[in-house]
Amino acid sequence: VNTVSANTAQGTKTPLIGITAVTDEESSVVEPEAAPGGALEMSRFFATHLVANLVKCGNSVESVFGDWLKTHGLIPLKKTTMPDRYFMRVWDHDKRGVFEGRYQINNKTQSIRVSLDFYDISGKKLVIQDVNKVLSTYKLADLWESLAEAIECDPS
Amino acid sequence: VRSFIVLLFCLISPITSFAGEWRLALCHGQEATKDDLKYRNAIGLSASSVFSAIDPKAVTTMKVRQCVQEPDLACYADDTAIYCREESFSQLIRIAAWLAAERAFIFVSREGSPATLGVAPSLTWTDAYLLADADRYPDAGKLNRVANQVTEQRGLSADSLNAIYSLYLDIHRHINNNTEVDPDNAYLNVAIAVYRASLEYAFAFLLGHEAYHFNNNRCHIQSASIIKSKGIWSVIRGLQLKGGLYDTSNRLDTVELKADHCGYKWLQTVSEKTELGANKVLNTLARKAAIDLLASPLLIGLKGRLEKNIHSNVVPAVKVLPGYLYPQSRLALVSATLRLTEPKSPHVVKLCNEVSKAMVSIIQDAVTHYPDSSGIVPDEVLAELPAGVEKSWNGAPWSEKSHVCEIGE
Repeated sequence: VNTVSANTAQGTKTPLIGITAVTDEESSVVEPEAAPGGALEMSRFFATHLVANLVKCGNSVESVFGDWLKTHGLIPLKKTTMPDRYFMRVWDHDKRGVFEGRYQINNKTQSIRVSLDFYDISGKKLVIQDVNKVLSTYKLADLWESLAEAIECDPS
Repeated sequence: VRSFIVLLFCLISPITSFAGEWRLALCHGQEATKDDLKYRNAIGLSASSVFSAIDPKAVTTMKVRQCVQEPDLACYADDTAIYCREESFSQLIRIAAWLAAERAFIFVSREGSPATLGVAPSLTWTDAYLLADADRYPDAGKLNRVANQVTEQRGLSADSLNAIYSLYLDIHRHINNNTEVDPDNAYLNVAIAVYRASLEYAFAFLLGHEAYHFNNNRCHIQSASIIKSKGIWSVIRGLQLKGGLYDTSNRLDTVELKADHCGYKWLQTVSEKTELGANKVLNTLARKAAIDLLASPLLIGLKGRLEKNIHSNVVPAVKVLPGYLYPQSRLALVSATLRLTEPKSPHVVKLCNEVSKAMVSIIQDAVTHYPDSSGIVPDEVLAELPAGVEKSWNGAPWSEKSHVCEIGE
């Protein structure tokens, strides 16, 4: 793969984390990557959370992604930061593919979404064994927890 | 009328989601005991009874197999079927039988009078859980040890517990073999009536939740629930959001929240349809037993963990599920649904006695460990607890009486 394809992140994405936050339980907005119910291991990484209020927490989210990058020695290829949105793209350790982190407030649907996807250089979606390896290597359970807190500007 | 159950031991056909057919797939792990696998008939009867109460035209299909990749949980569902662990449902069946057997003795000895409802049962929900758990092993020593613990703690004589055990076995014998009960056997008739009704309430909530997922995250019942129309749902849900009573770190997942709400609608429908003959006390007793029964799956889980408490007694540990309402909130909403659909004695269809003690302990513990707690227990929660609990929270000394549900409250 070359830098150009990494910069455009082509191919099939492998969703790793997806948290959508809404204030209305009956909202038609749901986390797009969530499986239909169940309690299988992966479903924990995709959820629609009910929150008391929608708050612009771009700084908190950027800080969480920043800490995660630092912990794993990753340097972003691209980064965009605004109060209501955030984007970053970064190579993985082995340059097998790129991670893309996103955060966006959608005032129209009264929702917030934060996500982390992976694009393998093969252009294919990762198989479950490789997903589990990524989850463990990059400590995505911890990142998930921190992002869930960050979208509510929760410092805890 | 119980709908026809099809027992399949082959693959379920590729039709997905609800299309007039409720699909329940039971699976068991390699560690399942012989006892865990002998309640299929009972599980099928209760499940099909609930499914047909929700949709009389629907067919129930049940499949049994060894677990291949199912997680070690009680149930989950996707658009192919509702998948449940047979071990967990068998545990629920055994707990229901223990509770029903003891309640039958209380009822018959008082000739079914309303005084029955004021009696604090000797066999608590945790006793029933521990006895049911011990009874799944072939080694009788385990059951004897728990039985000794129960008789010592509850002031129950060994003879009384033996009589309850005998009735417990009779319930299983009749249900597992589909045999008629002698109409003159008052104890067994009452025990089976309470057993069936309380199990159907429990199945209604548990299967209603999973049916939401099976039905592509849609509830089969469109009308508003009684807990929502009375404002109880939003208050209890709000306890887990910022500014509420409980720690917000267990974030509410809207899909699970709506699945739970669907479970309460199913429970409401089954409760509104259940009529156990002319005796209103028996109906009330069954709803009370259902609250004690559902305390196990909701507060501790059916594959729960046992731990030693400060008195060195083995007790089940409270289990919090990520994304869900806290266990105490889920049980309070069960209580609210059954109380609001109880036509005769709603004051006793609550979280009474040992369930009340557990609730108070869990609520206090949750508030103590959450520095940002509002510290305010709303009326909607207090309504599900005996009046004595509010008095004790307001300064009156705690006693057994604090947790008793009075008929005349």
